[in-house]
Amino acid sequence: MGSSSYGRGIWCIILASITGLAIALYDYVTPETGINQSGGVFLVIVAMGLMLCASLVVALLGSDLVANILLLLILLDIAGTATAGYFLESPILVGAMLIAAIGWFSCLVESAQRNRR
Amino acid sequence: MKNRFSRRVCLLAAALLLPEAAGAESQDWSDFNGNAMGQKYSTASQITPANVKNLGVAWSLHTGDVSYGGAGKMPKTQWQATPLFVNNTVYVSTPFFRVFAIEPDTGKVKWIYAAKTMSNAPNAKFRGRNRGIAYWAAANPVAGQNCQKMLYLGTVEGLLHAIDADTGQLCQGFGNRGILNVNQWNTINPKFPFELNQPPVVYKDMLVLGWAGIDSQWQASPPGSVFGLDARTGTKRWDFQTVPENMRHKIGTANVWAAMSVDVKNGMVYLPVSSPENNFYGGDRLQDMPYATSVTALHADTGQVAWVRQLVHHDLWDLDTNSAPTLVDIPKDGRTIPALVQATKQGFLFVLNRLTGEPVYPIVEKSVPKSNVPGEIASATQPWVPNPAPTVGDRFPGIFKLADWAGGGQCSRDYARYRDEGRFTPPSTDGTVVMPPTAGGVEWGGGAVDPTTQTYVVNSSNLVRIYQLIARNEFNALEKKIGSAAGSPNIGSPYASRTFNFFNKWGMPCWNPPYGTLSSYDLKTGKLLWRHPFGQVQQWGFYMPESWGSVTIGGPVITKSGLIFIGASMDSRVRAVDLRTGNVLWKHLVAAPAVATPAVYTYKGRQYVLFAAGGNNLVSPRVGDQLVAFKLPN
Repeated sequence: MGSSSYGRGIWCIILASITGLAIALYDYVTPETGINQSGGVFLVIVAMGLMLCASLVVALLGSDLVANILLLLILLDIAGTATAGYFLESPILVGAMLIAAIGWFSCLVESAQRNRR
Repeated sequence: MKNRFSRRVCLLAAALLLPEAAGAESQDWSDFNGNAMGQKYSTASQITPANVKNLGVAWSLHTGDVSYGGAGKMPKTQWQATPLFVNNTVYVSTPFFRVFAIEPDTGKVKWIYAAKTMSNAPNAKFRGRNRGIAYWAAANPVAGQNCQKMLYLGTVEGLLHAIDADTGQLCQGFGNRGILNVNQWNTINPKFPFELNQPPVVYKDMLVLGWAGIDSQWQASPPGSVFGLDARTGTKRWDFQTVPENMRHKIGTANVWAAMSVDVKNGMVYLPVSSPENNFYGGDRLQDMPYATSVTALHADTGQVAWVRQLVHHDLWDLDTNSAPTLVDIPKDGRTIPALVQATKQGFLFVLNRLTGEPVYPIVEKSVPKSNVPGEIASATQPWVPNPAPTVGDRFPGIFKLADWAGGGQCSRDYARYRDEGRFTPPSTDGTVVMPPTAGGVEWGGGAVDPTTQTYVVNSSNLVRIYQLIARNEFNALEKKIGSAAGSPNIGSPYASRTFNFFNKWGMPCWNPPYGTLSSYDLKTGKLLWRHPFGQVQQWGFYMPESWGSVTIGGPVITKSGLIFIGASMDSRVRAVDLRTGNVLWKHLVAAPAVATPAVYTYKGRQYVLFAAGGNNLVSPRVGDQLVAFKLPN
């Protein structure tokens, strides 16, 4: 198992997915959120779990084809979860996805810098 | 010096007396609709459009009386009870048929009365649902004697419990040791017990009581009746039958299941009368039924008919008159008209002289489509109210392109094969597009009025359902194959029926939004002042755009300070709306859709707004047991 050539970017995504997962779990079990036990929040829990797994794999694999494919899937996950967060009226979830998006772009920049070298 | 001293003494006295004076100030909510006139209006004015944004939770109480449904469990509860504030106490009944007496400023429970009823059992035959209690107080109470103030709680099996409002004990002098078996009068086609879902209305020392039942199961179900009862003893003083005598053994319902209103001064009680069975096929009831789907005025002392106004002729759409008429005096053309406003499922607002039944604004008889079902003769015309503008449009609002696209064109394809010739297109065997259908338009919450300005506010849903009649033989075969999914049997009728929302395969509405609105009218002219989409649709937790509005159940209330308070929407939020503009000024999330009309009261100088957040699975699967009071911060 190689060490990741993505630095802060991927850890940013990992942090955002952990945060998103925690928010979604809280939303799912807390009646006061108004979205508890809803299919939409369950979808976000699954999406955040997948994002966490994928970003950990990317962090551990380093930059190869699999990591690049996973990063593409992570981008879709970020976009989908941010949209879900908007319609669930959960600004914290949208904020977490904003951090994930920043992380994703950092990964992109890091990758570009690596290729230039 | 002397003046200054006197002023100080006066200020001190005022300071000492002020809490006392404030404590004496109390604004009640003594009836399901605030008052017996069905106005849903409070003179409370502490909470204003300027400060409503500061409104916060004063107290919240979970009654524990909720069922979330599921296999082998009691079906989901429907808690639609407007709490009362009277006798310096908040009273509320639950879907498990318990009455809570609560301290109005703290939410602390004083006592609980629990009716023994079959619906408490997990596998109860009947759904736990409740729409509240009634309150009566003796005009000349006898000191030291109990039951001078009484609460009345109805149950699903037709029992009316009379409870001492001070102690929570049964009043032994009422009925049989405190419980009146109303079902004793259920003698014709007693297919189901009289369900006392809606509390009676109080007129002097009398209760006027209707009942609910089960729709579309039997054509010969119990025919509609209303009872005038002695408030102290439960003795029946009169009854009123809604179905002509020669039809009662073959045609049922046309009952009064919704709230009624009372004009004490003129001794009148106003009945919203529902539609007869079979709800969707009238070939077996071609005879005139003048009280069916009507607003009927009775002399409250005798039960004699004062006047009747039929709102749908030969009803084939289950357009029950379903809310208490709102009684209000309207200054018009230099005189004051004692009026009533009858909101309806069809979205028409009938404004009538409440003493004569004559229209204040014209009612037009318009030609409507004919039935193509053998044996059926639909009425050639139906009553139409152009002014005030109906809450629902006359035509199908068009296919919702997003839903059509998402469903692969299913909406357009289905629409093309259904019959749709606008309002009052009769049900057919191929399926008829019905808008508004049985769920409204305006539901049982009805509207609210500011009697000082004659401003009337009402929430309404824009729903589209498909009505399909199924020939008896065909239905029997279908029922054997797929069970209850075949539809409603309407046993005894040549036609069974199937009704369903016009959705695509993903459950998206096939018609254009908005799905719910809130409207305001000036009753002096009938003019629509404003109309806005109201509430938000919530599906799988996702909130849809505000411009789509929401289907609503439960009514609004108006306060003197120019605010509307309303729950009602799918999104489990309660809102304060500016009466002048219709803009939402405040909203707050509660445990479930607050489908009960809220109550507004003032206690010890503080104004409270009280919502029961219980839900109704017609609106949303979310149900709850939360009673929550709001007030301004100290």
